[in-house]
Amino acid sequence: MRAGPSDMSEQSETIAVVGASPFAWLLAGLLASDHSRAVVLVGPAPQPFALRPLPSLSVAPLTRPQSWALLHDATREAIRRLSRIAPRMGERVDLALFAGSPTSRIALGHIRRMAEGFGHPVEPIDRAEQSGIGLRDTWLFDTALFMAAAPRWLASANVTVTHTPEALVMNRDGTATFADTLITRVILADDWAILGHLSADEIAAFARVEPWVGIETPPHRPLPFRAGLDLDSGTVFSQSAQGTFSGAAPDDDGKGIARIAACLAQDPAPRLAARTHFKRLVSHDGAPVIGPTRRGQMFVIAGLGPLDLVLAPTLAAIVCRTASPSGAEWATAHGAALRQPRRPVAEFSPAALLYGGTA
Amino acid sequence: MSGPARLSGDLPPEFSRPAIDTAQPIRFRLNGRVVDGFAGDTVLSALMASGVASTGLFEKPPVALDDHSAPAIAVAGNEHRADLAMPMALCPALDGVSYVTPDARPSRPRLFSRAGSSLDLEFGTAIAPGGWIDAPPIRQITADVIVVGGGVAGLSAAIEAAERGLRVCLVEKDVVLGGMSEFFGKAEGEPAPDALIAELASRIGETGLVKLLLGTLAFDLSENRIEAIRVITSGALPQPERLALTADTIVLATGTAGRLPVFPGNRLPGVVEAGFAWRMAARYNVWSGSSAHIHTAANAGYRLALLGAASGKTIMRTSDPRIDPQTRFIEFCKAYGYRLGWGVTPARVEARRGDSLAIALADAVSGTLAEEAIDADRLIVSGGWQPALDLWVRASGRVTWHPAAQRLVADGALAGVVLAGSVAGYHTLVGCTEHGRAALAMALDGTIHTVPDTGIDPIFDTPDGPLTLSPPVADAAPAFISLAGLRTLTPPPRQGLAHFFARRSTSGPGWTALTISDVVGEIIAGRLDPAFAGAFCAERCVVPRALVAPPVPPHIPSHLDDALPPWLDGRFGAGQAQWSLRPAEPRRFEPGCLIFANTDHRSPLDAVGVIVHGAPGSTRALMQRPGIRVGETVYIRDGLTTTSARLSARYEG
Repeated sequence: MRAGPSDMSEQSETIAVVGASPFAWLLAGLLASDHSRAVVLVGPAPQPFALRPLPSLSVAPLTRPQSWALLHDATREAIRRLSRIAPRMGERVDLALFAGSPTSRIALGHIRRMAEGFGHPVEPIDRAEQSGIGLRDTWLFDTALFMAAAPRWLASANVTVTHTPEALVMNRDGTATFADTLITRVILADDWAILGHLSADEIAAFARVEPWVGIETPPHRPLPFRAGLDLDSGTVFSQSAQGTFSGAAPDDDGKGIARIAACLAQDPAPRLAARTHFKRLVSHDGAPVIGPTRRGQMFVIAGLGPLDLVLAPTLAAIVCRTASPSGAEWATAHGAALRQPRRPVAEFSPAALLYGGTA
Repeated sequence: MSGPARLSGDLPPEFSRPAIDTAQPIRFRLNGRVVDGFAGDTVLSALMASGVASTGLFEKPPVALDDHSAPAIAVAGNEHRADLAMPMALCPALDGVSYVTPDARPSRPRLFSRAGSSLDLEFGTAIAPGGWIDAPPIRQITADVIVVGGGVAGLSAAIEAAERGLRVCLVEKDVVLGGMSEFFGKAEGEPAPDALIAELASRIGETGLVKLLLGTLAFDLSENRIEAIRVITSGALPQPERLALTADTIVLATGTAGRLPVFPGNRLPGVVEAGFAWRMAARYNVWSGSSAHIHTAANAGYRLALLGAASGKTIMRTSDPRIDPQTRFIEFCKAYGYRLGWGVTPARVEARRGDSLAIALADAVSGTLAEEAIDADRLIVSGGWQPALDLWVRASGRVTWHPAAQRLVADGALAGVVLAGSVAGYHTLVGCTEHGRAALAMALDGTIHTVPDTGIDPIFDTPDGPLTLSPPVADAAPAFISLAGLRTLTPPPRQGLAHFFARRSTSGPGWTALTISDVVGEIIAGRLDPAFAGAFCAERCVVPRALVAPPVPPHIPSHLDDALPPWLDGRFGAGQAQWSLRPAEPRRFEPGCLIFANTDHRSPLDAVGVIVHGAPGSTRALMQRPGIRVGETVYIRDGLTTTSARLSARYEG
């Protein structure tokens, strides 16, 4: 999605993107390079070798045709854009989706027809006690490659990067001050930023905080599918080109690692090489949350799941009000200020089903 | 009978109380090899006493046999039972038993292999963890206080707890109490370590409230539960016993671990870390070779020169990266007339025929090579000491890099877990002893006692030197960054055909579970910014358990009744409704099949409905409302197949 012409006054605005994730870095760079915004990226210094167990993909278990259409329109341009920032960070893999419970099997059927309808090659997968489908030619993005290339790219786009979050002073009206610069808009671009800047009540209006665990293994024998997602729990995994598995699962009952292990199911089993515990925001209706919150003025982006990187150019255009009409309509329907569950956009979500789609 | 690497004759007092009984010779087999030893030996000590110096091959060069590289073993016949694997360093050598190494492959025979001096096993990129880490505990022990570490700090903590009437379980991986205090020697104004240990051990026995688990390795700690392994003897056969120990209060008195200076060839057979060398000599009278070079950045390292000489060994020379170090042990060395080299560090070590080593020294600052290499059977090295914080980190304790000391140190507190003694940063015998009590009091009462830890003035006892690193050299043996794993420095690229055929290293920074020592090595090697060491340890210092688990039952609701799932709310607008369909072909349709108004449409955006219930005879769809009528024909798309259907009635549920 290309940036369209925009008002000079808008172009002169300074945006602070707060976040620690590759998505936050990518969004900051896109706002600066593709939309000519002055951007300050606020987040912790990237930790070398940090575990990033949540994969970034070009497909997700979506059930709404409007979301699939948005994704369909965005993917080609996003791949091209990402490959210019970090060549070879995208790789075509086969993605497996599994479902065991009757509820998630039904959802899997809907997801399958939706994927087929938008031109994705789909095939059934045999797996004990589970239904499964394989989505061929899904893009898997190597976020470590992106993070390695990002500093130079951000510098070339004149993004100011600060690793001292306290340097950004928030104002009640949603603006902020960074050094002597007035920040006209603050974007909380990932869970870390939202958890650090919004009150628990504000967050509870649109999302639930879930404890998750993530893991990594040493290189191991390749699985038939390089990435996978278990619809019953939301557990995700991917295998790098070097054979390393990464995975993440909800851990509110302490069974997160067992969930990941069950997904990997290999003989001999891969071994644990690294583990991290983190908090994840899951919207009450399973759909992404985009825009200013009901009470505050800060722009939040949450719940993108594995589509974070591939939707980043679209979201940059949405932030800059240069998105296509369908993109703008999609963003409006996914507004953070809307009362949840937002029935017309609700997606399949284990957490939404488990907790009734309410705060 | 005693084995070529067994000390004999007049030995210094520290080596005169071994755990072995030389009056009881034993003989066992490992992978078919006949090994002689004594009652009290472990399999590892008996092998080393028999002259086995190498575990096998890592890529090309051999790796020294020690407690880190020793593979897991099992009694022959149990090689396929991972739960019956045992740590070689803990497993008693029992007469007549046949042992095997289930996880290690025999390597190909080598042209110039030294017959009998190697186990001839081949490593991949990592030493396989023992199966006990995956085995469920077979014995649960509950106590009020668990103390891990039987050095002076652990002993005094256990006594303090017992004196309060609490049930204590003390876990020590060595076969005797006392830890490494004797190795560090007696300082002026302090009691003799052996006398203090004997007194503390006696008081432990008197309390009647302390359960001792010697020869027991605690390998994981989570909340208030310790996972451990020991090997017991059952019917003249060794048998692993997996333990789970639970207590409200856990004292980690795990001491310090010896560090390995980094230089090419630092894990060749014959190169041994000073602390391990001392333990093998003191507990099992094992000391290989007749000559040794001692290289140490820590004062205690000089003690091995003295003890080796007193045991009849030839000490070729001692070297130290520090400039003009001062310690009472050096004065003794001078009195013996040893050659001392200061401000130098090993540049590289090569194996020579006849089991000897060629040790090239270089200026520790400039790197300039010394003119001639030193020949010795053995190189004993000490790169100083790292607090043994692995259990602390596995319990989610934080660590931070101490740049001056070049150590990772504990940072912050953990509920129910305290550090005691040298692992908490105490150095002196008295300081560690007193801190054991203080740590226990802090854990139980929350009271903080200041414990003095005044050592010898640095003028007379130079602080330990930095952990040195000599760069890797092409075609030399690898430079390992720590004892614990198989992580090496990357040598400079080869030239010509050798470059073309060179095997690519697979020891990436995040590819195996790490230990605290590995992380220190990564920092010293310049591959990890120390500012991130704490977060790095938190993620990567884990027990490398196998990821095996039965499926976790889904906890989402399994039935949605007739209600539409949330993701179909408003799917076809506010007026959507469910309809019963009568397909032209009686067949099952999977929920999710899209329904179109005509056969030309394919995009889901053009769908006018979707199957929500697809059983034959009761096909039901969610349809958009406008203009829809009973009897109207629609088309159900299922993959490449399109089936017509008529709307039969609106479904009211």
